[in-house]
Amino acid sequence: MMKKIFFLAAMAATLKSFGTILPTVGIQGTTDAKGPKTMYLFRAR
Amino acid sequence: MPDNGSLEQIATAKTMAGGAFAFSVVNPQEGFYYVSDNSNVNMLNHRIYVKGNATIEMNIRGSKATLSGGSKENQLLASWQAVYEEIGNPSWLGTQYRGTYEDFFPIFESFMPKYEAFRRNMKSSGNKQFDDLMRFVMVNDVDAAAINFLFMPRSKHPKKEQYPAYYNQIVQSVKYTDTRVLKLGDGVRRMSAYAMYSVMGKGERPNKDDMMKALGNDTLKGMYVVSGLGGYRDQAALIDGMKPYQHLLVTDSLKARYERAVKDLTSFAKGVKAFNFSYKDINGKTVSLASLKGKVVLVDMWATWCGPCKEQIPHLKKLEEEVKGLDIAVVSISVDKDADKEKWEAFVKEKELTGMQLFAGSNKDMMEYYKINGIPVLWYSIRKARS
Repeated sequence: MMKKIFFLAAMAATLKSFGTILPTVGIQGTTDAKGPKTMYLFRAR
Repeated sequence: MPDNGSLEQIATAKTMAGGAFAFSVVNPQEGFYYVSDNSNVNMLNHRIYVKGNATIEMNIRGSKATLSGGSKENQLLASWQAVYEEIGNPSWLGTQYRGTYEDFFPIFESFMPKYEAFRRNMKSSGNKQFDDLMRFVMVNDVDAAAINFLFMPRSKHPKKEQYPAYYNQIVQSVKYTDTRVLKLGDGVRRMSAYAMYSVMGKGERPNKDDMMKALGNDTLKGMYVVSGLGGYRDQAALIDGMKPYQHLLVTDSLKARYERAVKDLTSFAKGVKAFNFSYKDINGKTVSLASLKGKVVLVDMWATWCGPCKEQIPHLKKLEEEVKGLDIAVVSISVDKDADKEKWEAFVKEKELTGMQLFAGSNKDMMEYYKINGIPVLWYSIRKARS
């Protein structure tokens, strides 16, 4: 039982650390194009 | 992975009420990203610099975008783009910009002092490497906008003596001596336009070698050569044409792209069996290449909605008359939509089309096999069809 709790706690700590480690960039905006539009995001490679 | 000066689509988003949209990039690879309302990578797009944890705000009004937020690097880029769009937008809008050089050159001249002032007073992003990259990007942006404008179809074209003075010093041996341009999503396109501009007005029709002289770096030369591989339609010609440039395939990525281009042309190689198409004719009878064994086969791929295809019809009719009695089969294959089959049948009857009239409809097997992405296409088997 103790082992299981320790495992779950370790999992939770790992997930939490992932949440803080992985950086995220949000791009939000508006366009005045008429009607519903599909917007595309490209990356230089 | 090395930079290769091109764009990769990584996400799409549908606009919501009021034209709002959002993207989220988890664990982003640092670098230039581009937002566009068009999937065509050659259309106008809005550039941002993505790094770390941040939110970038972008408001697009017509062809202009106001940018804010993001990393310090993005903020520096955004302040440059607010200045640059004065010449950037007319140039990158391509033919959507209706003005001619008579409109653009005065805009370009009035932009110059603002450009010089921005370069003089450029604030640091706090990242020296990025600041150095930005100094390169600014010059490259201005060169690219100047050149791109000239290369777009316009109703009027300037004489060389009408160019703003800036144009005379665009080509310099110190430019394109390293691979920084490949960090830009349109880097190869910019580099190719620069190479072409470097030989403009130099008499004889310039060749690849003349243009490459403007590039002072083997990786860039390799990129330039590889970017032209799509123009080959014959495997032997590609292999032969690339012999003098093998030493420029300096990276694994360039070598792989060359090998892929050779492989892609296998279906066109001499001696390779032609694709055994099989479609129904206007009477419902199946006709395949194999069924034409012993004949030289001329294939015309077309559709009733294709203007240039219809212009070919009288010439094809004339050809059919000329080859009558010979072992030559003229086969017209329609790629109209399935829903337009009756329209095709009516067109064939009304125009009294001769030869073999086949209907491929939505069956794109032959188009996919030969990587055909536009019509009309005329194709023939030089050797007699083998089963």
